[in-house]
Amino acid sequence: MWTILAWSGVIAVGVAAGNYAKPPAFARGGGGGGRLLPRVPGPPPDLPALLWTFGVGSVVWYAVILALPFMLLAARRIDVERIGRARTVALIVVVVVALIAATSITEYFLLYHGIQMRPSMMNYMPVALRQNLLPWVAIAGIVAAIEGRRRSRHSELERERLRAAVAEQRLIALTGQLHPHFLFNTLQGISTLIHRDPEAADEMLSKLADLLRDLLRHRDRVLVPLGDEVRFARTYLEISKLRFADRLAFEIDIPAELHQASVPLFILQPLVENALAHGIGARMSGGRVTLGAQRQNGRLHIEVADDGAGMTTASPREGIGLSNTRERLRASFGNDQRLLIDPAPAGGVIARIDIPYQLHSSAAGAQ
Amino acid sequence: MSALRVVTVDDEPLARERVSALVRESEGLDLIAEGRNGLEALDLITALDPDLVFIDVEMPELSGFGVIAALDGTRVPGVVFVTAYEHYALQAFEVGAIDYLQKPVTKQRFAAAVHRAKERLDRRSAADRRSVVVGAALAERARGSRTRFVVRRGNAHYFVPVDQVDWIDAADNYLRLHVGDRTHLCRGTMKEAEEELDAARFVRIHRSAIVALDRIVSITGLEAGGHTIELRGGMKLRASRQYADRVRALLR
Repeated sequence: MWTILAWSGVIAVGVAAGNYAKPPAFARGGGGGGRLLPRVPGPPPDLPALLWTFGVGSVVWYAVILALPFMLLAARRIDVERIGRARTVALIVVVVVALIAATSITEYFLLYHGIQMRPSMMNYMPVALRQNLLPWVAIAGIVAAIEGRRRSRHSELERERLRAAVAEQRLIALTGQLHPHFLFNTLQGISTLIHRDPEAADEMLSKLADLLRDLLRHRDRVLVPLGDEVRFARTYLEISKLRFADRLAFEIDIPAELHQASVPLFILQPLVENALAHGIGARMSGGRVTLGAQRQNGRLHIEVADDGAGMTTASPREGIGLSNTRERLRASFGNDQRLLIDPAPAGGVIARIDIPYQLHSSAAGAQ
Repeated sequence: MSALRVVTVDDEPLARERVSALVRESEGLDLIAEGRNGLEALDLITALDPDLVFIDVEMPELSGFGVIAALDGTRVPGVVFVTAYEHYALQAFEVGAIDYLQKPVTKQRFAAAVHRAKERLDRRSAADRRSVVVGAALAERARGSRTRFVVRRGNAHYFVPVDQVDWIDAADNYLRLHVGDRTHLCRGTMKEAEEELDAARFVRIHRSAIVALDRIVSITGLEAGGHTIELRGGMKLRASRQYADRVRALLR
C-alpha cells in the first residue's frame, strides 16, 4: 500500500512539475561538480513559482493521492456479481466524472481566491476538466489494476480452498464409515472361525469383502441410491451379528420402491454404528437395531432406532460421527434437511433424517 | 513351576473363543474361567484369584480398565489387555499391564505375551500390584465421567448407578454410598469421587461428604458460618465453613 502511495506521489510531483512549473532557475554551483542544490547563500530564485506549482497548482494531484486509499477500499467492496458488469463500469464512470468536476470547481475557487481579474466559471471549466481528466483516469486505472490482481489471486485461493474442502469431505465420508476397531474385531472373529468352522469364516470374510468393495466403489460420488446405503448397513449389521452372536438383533424395514431415492453417501452408516454402540456396546444383555424409511409429501424420512441404554452413554467419538453426518446433510441440502436424535419412547435412542425426496440419477439411466 | 491359572474376558464370543483356545494350546497355562463382561470378570477374579487375566478393554457397562480399577489392591492378577484400539494399547502400558495384544491376536504375539507374563509375574511387588489398580482407575476416568459405582458384597459385585446415590461419606480408603436406607462400600477417595462425579448433580459440602443436589430439601445457615443441609427422608448433614462457598452457590 505504501509503495503505491509513494509511487503515486512521485508521478504526481513529476506531472505537476511538467504541467505547471516554469523551469525553476536553479543555480549551478560553479565548478562544484554539478550539484543540483540551490546555493546556500542567497535566496532560491523564483520561489513563488515553485510554491505555486507544488501548492495550489497541484490541487488535483493532492486530491488524487488522498483519494487513492479510499478508492482502493471502495473498489474492494464492489460486488461485481451482484450489480453486474455493465452497471459496475457505469458506476466507475460516474464516480470519476464527479471527482473531475469536484476538483475542477475546488481548483477554480482556490486559484482565483481574492483575485479580481478572474475568468468566468464557464470559461475556466472546459480547460480545467480537460486538465483534470488525466490524473483521475490514471488513478482509476491503477486502482482497477490493483483490485483486479487482488481479486484474481483471491479467487484462486478460494478455488484451492474449495478443492481442499471437497477432498476433506470425501475423506471424512470414507474414514467415518468403518472404524478401525470394527475392521480388527471382524478380523479377530474370522481368525477364530478359521480354526473351528472354516465355512463360517469364509462367510464372514466374504461379507467383509463386500463391505470393503462398497466402500471403495462409491468414493467419487456425493449422492447414492438409498438401496446402496441399505445394502452397506445390512452387511455391516450381519457382520456385527456374527461378532456379537445372540446379543444383536436387527430389522430393516425399507420398502423396495424407496431404494432409488437419492441420499448423501454413507449417511446411514454413522447412525447404525451409533445405534450399535448404544444398543449393544453399552449393554450386556444386547439389543435390537431397527432401520426404517418412508416417503411423505415429497420428503424422505429415514429412521435408525435402538433399544439400548439411552442418551447418557454417548461418548465424544460418536459425537464426531454425528456431526459429520450433519455436515454432509447440509452440504447436499443446505437448510432443507434435518437430523434429530431423540430418546425413543421405549428406551434407547431414535435418529431421524428428513430430506427432500429425489429420484437418484442412476434410476433415470443417467449415471 | 506350576501352571499359571488364567481367566479370559471378552464380550465378543468369537474373540473370547480365540484367546481361550490360545491359552489352552499354551504350555504352562491353565484356563480356569471365561468372563462374558466386566462385572462377571470382577466376580471371577475375586472368587478364583487367578495368576493371569487376558481382558478386553472395550466392554459394555464395565470396561477392562474399570474391572482392574475395582479390584482389591492386595490380590491383583497379571493383566494382559486385548484390544482393537491402538490408543488403548498405549494406555495399557501406562497402567502397568504385563502386556497388551492387538486384535486380531496372532499365535506368535500371544506366545510372546505369555513369555513376558511367566518372566514378570514372580517379580511383582505389592506396590506394583497396587499401582496397576491405581493406573487402571486413571485410565478409566479418562474414558468419561462416572455413571455408576461398582460395589462388592462377598465375592459378588454390583453396579450402583450414580443417580440412585443420595449422599456419600468417606471411611478410610472407602466411600460409603447412601442409597435410600442402605449403604454400600466402594473403593475410592473423596477427591476422586468429586472429580469423577458430574458437578451439575453432586456437590461436596464437607471434607468427607458429597450430596446429590436433587435430594436436598432445605439449607439452613449456621451462626458459626457453616450450613445444615436436610435431605429428602429427613437426614441432616453439616456443611463445613470450608465448603460454604459451594453451598451458597446453590442458594443463588
